[in-house]
Parts: sequence; structure tokens; C-alpha cells
Amino acid sequence: MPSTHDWSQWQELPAPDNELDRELLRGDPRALILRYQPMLIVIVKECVKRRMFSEEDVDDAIQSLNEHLLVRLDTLQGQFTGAASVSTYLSAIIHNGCASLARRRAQERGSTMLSEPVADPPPEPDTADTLKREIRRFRGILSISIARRPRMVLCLKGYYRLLIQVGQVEILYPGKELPGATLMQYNQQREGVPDMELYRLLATLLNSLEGKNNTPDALRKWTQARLEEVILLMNAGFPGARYDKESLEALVEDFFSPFLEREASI
Amino acid sequence: MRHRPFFDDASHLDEEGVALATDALLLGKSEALPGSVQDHLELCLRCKEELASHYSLALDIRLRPADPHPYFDRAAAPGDARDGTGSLYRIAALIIAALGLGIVGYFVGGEIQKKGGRYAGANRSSRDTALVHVPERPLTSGDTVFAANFVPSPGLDQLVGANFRSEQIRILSPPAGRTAAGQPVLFRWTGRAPGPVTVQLLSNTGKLLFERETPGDRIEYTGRLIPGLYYWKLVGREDLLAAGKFTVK
Repeated sequence: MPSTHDWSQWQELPAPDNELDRELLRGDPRALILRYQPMLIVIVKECVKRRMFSEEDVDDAIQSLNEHLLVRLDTLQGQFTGAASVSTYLSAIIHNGCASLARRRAQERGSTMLSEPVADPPPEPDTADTLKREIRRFRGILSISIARRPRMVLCLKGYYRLLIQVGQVEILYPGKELPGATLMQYNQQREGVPDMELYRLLATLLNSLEGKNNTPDALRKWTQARLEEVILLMNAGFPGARYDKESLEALVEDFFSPFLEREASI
Repeated sequence: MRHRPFFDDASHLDEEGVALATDALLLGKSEALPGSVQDHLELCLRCKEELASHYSLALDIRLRPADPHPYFDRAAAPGDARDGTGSLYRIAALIIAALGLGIVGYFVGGEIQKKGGRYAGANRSSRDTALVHVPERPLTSGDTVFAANFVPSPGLDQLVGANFRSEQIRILSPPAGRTAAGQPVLFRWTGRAPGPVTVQLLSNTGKLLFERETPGDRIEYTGRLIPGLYYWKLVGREDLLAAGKFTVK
């Protein structure tokens, strides 16, 4: 393995080439690990940002992770089915390795976390790139649960009392008859009514779209539970709590805003 | 040798399972994930967290999945060494399809009862029984009897018989054994669930074929099922209450 003391030059991930990666995994896994040294270093740097390691631990972490990969060469070759990208597969192994290493280091130091948890503020969307990435993260997290996604989207909009567009309902529930009167009533009254009335309107809307008979209170509890889950997932892997219900609202509004623009132009 | 792909010995997503799901999120192809992985992610918060954490990292380091992707683009990958093999698979599938049509015709041909679109008590949901009419549709080339129709789904198998809720919902029907093709399927259970429950019928690949809510303790499905292995779920307002499976021969 190359010296890692001057890892600052290893900034760029290798160009993706899955066929080459699979050949290396089969025939020369050490060469594969060498090819992905830049990614390993980038991941360790990200773990420093996430306060899993300190700057002083980086060289040791890189060395330990390389030893970990070398030890696992046989299992890597035997277990990998080829369904995932090799690069993503390696990144998952390295990420897990970082987490294990961070836990071991923390235990050795007699604490459960590298540093005390601080309620970090959510990332400031002061650059288009940051906002785009956060929206992409939010979209991905909504997509984890395919079956519940349509209802989650409408319930999130309802929780934050956002406008629900006709076009959006048509996309989420294709082929379903649109309860136009209920939707109009929700959009007209969403900002001023108490929670129970809001959830009554939402329940009527969703029951019509899904052929169910949920009560407003059941829907309210379901929405609360899903919102807490989304927040948990948005904060996953980061120290402290970056998002809470209030700070998520701005991201939710930004996420849904393209629909507003599209419908306004019709 | 591992028990099943994408899962570790503790039945959680292994590193390749997390990697495949991460690729799916990066490519916007979550709906194309294997049914076992989708089912597991619906239920397992721990794996959802692990996936969310890794997906965030993948975004932050600007990780790019393979293009074409070995799983999500496997049918259309140009220059893929499997293209030739794929042609052989297609020929084999056509031969099996032709044989299967003959078998389906033998089992089902004389059994189909045309209902002419009239409802037999549809939407009548009582405490005892809800008869559900499913409109007829003609057989297509996809409705042939493949051996694949009987292959168990690991993700759904792990749900069958598991304990879910303190209400002790117990499945009475259908039994896990064979059910004759063309016969109605009665879904029946004991135990109290808070509020109406929904019966979902799924194919062995996890595809949702039918669902209906009822305040009662049974639903009879009168639609036509081609021979194969089927799973079904009893879903409460917020949780999965029970799961079962049966075969149609």
C-alpha cells in the first residue's frame, strides 16, 4: 500500500469502470483496493466531518481500513453477486469499517461518542449545490418506502399545510378518480383550520384515493410517526440532530416548489 | 455459502444489499429493487437508517453508480457479454411458455366462469363475509405456468408465521397447502385489530395483485388466480398484523 501521509493529493474518486472493477475483484483484489484508495481517503475525510474521527486519527484510520480490506479479500470475492456497482459495494464496506473503527476508538477512550453530541443546525442552503444535494437526499429518503410514498408525500404537505396540486395527486395516484371538491376545500382552508379539521380533510382525500376508511386521528398519528422517521433518516450518520420538524419545513417547501411553478404556468 | 443474496445471517441487509439500495436511490430506481429488499425496507428501521446514512455519504462524496448498471440496466446493457446468453434464455422461455400455455389450458380452460362483469356482493362488507368481484381478463402470454411462479420469496417467507402484534391475530384460512385453481379463496382470521384491516394479495415476486379493506374478519376472493405461489398480508392502520401464503395448483 502507498504511503498515506500525503493523502491530500488523493482528492478525486477513480473514474467509474464497473467491468474493470469486477475483473480486478475476481483476479487482483489488491489492485482494486489500490485503485480505490482515493475513495477510501475521501470517505475517511467525510467521517472526520461527521465527527467519527479526529484529524489526528486519519492516518491510523486509513491504515486500519486497508488492513481490514486485505483481510476480507476472500469474503469480498465469494459473497459479491455482482448486482451492485463495485464502487458502491466497496464504499459500503469502507463506511461500515469506519463506523466499527470509530466505535472501538470511542470505547477505548471511555466515551460512547467521539465528541459530545451537539444539535447541529441544518446545512445552510447558501449555495445551489448544497440545496440541490439536500433536496436529493430528501427525495431519496422518501423513496426508501415505495409503497407508502404517495401517502407520505400528501401527509407531509398536509402537516406543513402546503398547497396540494391537482397534477401532483395525479402523479402520485395515477388512474384514480380525483376528489376535486375535497382537494379544493383543503387548499382553501389549510392555513386557518385547527389540526383535527385539517386531518379530517386529508383523511377524506386519502380515503377516497386509496379506498380506505381511516379516521382523522389515525391519520394524524400515522403522519407524526412518518415525519419522525423522515427526520431520523435525514439525520442518520450525522452527529447531533441536524433536522427537526421546524427546520425540515424549509426543505419540504423547497422540495415541492417546482410543482407550484409548473401548475402556475398551465 | 450464504443463505440468500443481499441479506446477512441476521436477516438484515448485508453490504451488497445496502450498496444495491444505495445505487437504486442514486439512480431513482427504488421500485426496481428486488421484492425481498423492498419488503425488508418497509419493515426494518435499522436497515432504513443504515441505507439513509450510506446514501448521504454517497451523495457527499459524489459517488457514481456503474453505467450501465449491472442490475437495473441488465436487459439493455450494450456490449454486455450476457447478450448472447440472454438470447438463449429468451428462446428457452418461449419453449417453456408454449408448454405452459398447454398446461394452463388443461387446468383452467374448463374452469373459467364468466361473470359478465356483474358484482356478486361486491362492496358489501359485513361482519361475516365480503365477496369481492374481480373483473375477468383474457389470459396473456405472461400468464403461463413457469416454475418461477412457485419460487418462494425470501423476504415474504420471513413474514409468514412471524409474531407481529399483541392482538394475536391468527390466520384460519387459506391453509398453506394447495388450493385448486378456479376456486374462490377465503381469507379468514381470528383476533381483534383496532379498526378496519386491509387484505393484500401478492404474487411470489411481491407484486401487489389485489387489496381490499374490511371491518370484518374475512374476505373471499373470487377472481381467477393462475397456478403459482401466493402471499397475503393483513394490514392494520399502521402495522402489518399477519402474513400467510398458499399455492394454487
